[in-house]
Amino acid sequence: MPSEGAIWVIAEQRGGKLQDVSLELISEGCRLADKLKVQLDAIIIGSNIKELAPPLVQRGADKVWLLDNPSLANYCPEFYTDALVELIKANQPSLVLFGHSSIGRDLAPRIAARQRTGLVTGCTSITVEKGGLVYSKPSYGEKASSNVICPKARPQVVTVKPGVLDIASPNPKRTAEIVQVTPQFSGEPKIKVVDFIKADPKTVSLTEAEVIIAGGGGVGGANNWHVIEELADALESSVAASRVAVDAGWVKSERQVGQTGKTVNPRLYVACGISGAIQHTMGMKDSKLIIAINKDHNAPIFKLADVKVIGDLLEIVPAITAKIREIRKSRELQRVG
Amino acid sequence: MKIFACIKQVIDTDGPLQIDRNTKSIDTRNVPWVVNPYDEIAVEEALQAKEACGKGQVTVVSLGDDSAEKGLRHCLAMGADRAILVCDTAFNGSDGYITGVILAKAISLNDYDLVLCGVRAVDTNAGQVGAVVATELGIPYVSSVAKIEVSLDGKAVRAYRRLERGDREVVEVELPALLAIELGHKPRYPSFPRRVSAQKASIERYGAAKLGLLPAEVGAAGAKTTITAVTPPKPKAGKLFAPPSNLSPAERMRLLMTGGIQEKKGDTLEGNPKDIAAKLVDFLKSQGFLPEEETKQ
Repeated sequence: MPSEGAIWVIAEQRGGKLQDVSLELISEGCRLADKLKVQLDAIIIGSNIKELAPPLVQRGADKVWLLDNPSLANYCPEFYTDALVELIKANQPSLVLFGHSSIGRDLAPRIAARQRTGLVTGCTSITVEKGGLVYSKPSYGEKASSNVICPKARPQVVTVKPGVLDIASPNPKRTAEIVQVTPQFSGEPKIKVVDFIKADPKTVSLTEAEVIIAGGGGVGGANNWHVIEELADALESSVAASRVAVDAGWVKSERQVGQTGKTVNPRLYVACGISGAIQHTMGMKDSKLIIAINKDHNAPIFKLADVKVIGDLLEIVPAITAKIREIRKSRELQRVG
Repeated sequence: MKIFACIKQVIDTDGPLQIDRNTKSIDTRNVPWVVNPYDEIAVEEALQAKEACGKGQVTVVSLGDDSAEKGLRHCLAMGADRAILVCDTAFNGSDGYITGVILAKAISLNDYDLVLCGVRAVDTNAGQVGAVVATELGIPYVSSVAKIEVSLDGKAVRAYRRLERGDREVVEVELPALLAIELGHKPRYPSFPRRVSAQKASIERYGAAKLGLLPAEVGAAGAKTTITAVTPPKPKAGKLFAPPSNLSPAERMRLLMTGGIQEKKGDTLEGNPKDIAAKLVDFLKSQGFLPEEETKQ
C-alpha cells in the first residue's frame, strides 16, 4: 500500500465539554493508525479549547489541531465546514472520522461534498483488509448490514455510531504536538440560527427523554399515580411505567418501558415501586444513573441502582417533590429580588 | 415558487427482506418498491409549501431506471405538477456522491427556489445526496429538518432542525436553499382519480448527453464508494455473561437467570422520608439535574 496520509479524528465539543464519542473515535483511530502505520491526529473545533486536548493525547493522538476562534464556540455548519476543508486541503489526511451525532451527521456530508470524496455514515465497525479499510453499517431499515469501501478517493469521510466502540484507557505519560490554528471568516453565515427549543419532557418520545420518572405496581393505584406525575413535573422530566402500571390502566401504553415497551437510555432513571423483573430492566438498564425506590429491600431493581432507597414511595416521592419545589421557588425569589 | 423534490425508489424495508447469502446482495425479485419514506415526506412538504404560497410549481426528480417511473407517478398523484426521470445506462452503479452530482445537474437546467429531499434513503442509509446537491448547486444546505415555514414573500424559509433528545434548532435561510427532511406532515394518500390521471401524465427524461455528463465520469466510474457486500445483520456483540467459576452452581444458575446483572455498589438510603428526600435532592444537585445557585453574571 502506498504511504497514506494521517487518520484524523474530529473531536466533538459542546459547550466546551468533550463528548464521549470523541474518546471512542480516538481509541478506534489509534487502533487503525497502529495497523496502517500512519499518524493519528485529533482536531478540536471551538473557542478556548486547549484543555480538551489531554484526554485525546492520552488515548493515542500524535498531534492535536486546535481550530480556535470565538465564532466556532458553537456548531455553525458553514464556518466549521470552511475551517475544516481548509485544514484538509493543506494536510491531505487519508481518513477523517466523525461521530454520528447531530453535528457529525450534518458536518461530515458537507466536508465530503466539498472535497468531492467518498462518505460512509453510521458505521458500526471498521476493519483493515488487504484492499484497505472496510466499513460495516446497518442498512435496509437495520435489517441488513452493508460493507462499504472507498477505494480511491481521499480523504475517506466516515461517521461512526456513538456508544458502539470501546474507549481505551488513558496513558497519562503520552505527549503530543499541539498546533493552534485561528481560522478567519469573512461575512455572516447564510444559515442563521434564530432559536433553540428545548424538548418538552411531557411530549418527547421516551427513547429521547433525558430524565425519566417511572412508576410500577408499588404505586398501588390510579389514585396514587399523581405522585409520579408531580415529581416528573417538578424535575422537568418524562413519566414512564412498568407493564404492571400500564396493564392496570394508570398510564397510557406509550409510556411503557421494557421488553414489550420502549428501550430507553436517559441520563437519569428513577424507578418508583418497580421490582425490576428482567422484562422491565432490559428496557432501562442502559440508563446512565438509576435511582430505585422500593419497600422490599430484596427487590431485584436494587442490583442495578446507583442509589437505593428502601421505603414507601408514597411518602418519599412527595417529600422529594416538595423539596425540589421549595428549591425552585427560592431560586425564583432570588431572581426577582 | 418553484420547488424541486428529489426522490428515490427503494425496496419497502417494512416488508421481509431476502438476502442472497452467496452473492451477498439483496434479492430484489418479488419485493415491493416504494418511494423512500423520507422523500415522500419531502414531497408532502413541497406540496404544502406551494399551497401556503398560493402559487408555484412542484417538480419531482428521480435518478433511476424505467421502474422509477412508478415512484414519480405516485408523487404526481399526490399533487406534483411535473416529473423528471434522470435515466441513462451510464448512470448504473452510481453512489451517493455521483447521484448528487447528476441530480444537481438536472435541477440546474431549471429555475428553482427551494430544493427538498429526504434526509436519507432507508436502503443505503447514507444521508449524503442532499449535501452533494446543495454543494454542487452552490446553495445553503440545512439537514434534519422537522418543520418548514416559508416566509410570506416566498424569499426565505424558517426550518426547525431535529437535534438530540427531541430538541429543536430554528434556523432561517434565504432561498434558494436545499432542505433535507427528516420529519414532517404525513404524506397524503392519493385518490383513485388522481392515480388514474397520473398514469397518463407524461414524464420528462434526462439522459447523460442532455446533462452534459460523460459516461466516464458518472455511474460506477464516477462513484467514490462501493458496497461490497450486504449480509444479514451481525448478531449484536452482546456481552456474553459467564458467571465466575468459583461460585456455587446454585449461585451461577441464579446469575444466569437474571441475565448476569451484576450488583452496582450503590448507596443505600433508609429511614425518615424527609431525610431521604433531602439526601436525594442533594445528590440530584451534585449530578446537575437541578439548577445550581444563581451565579453572578
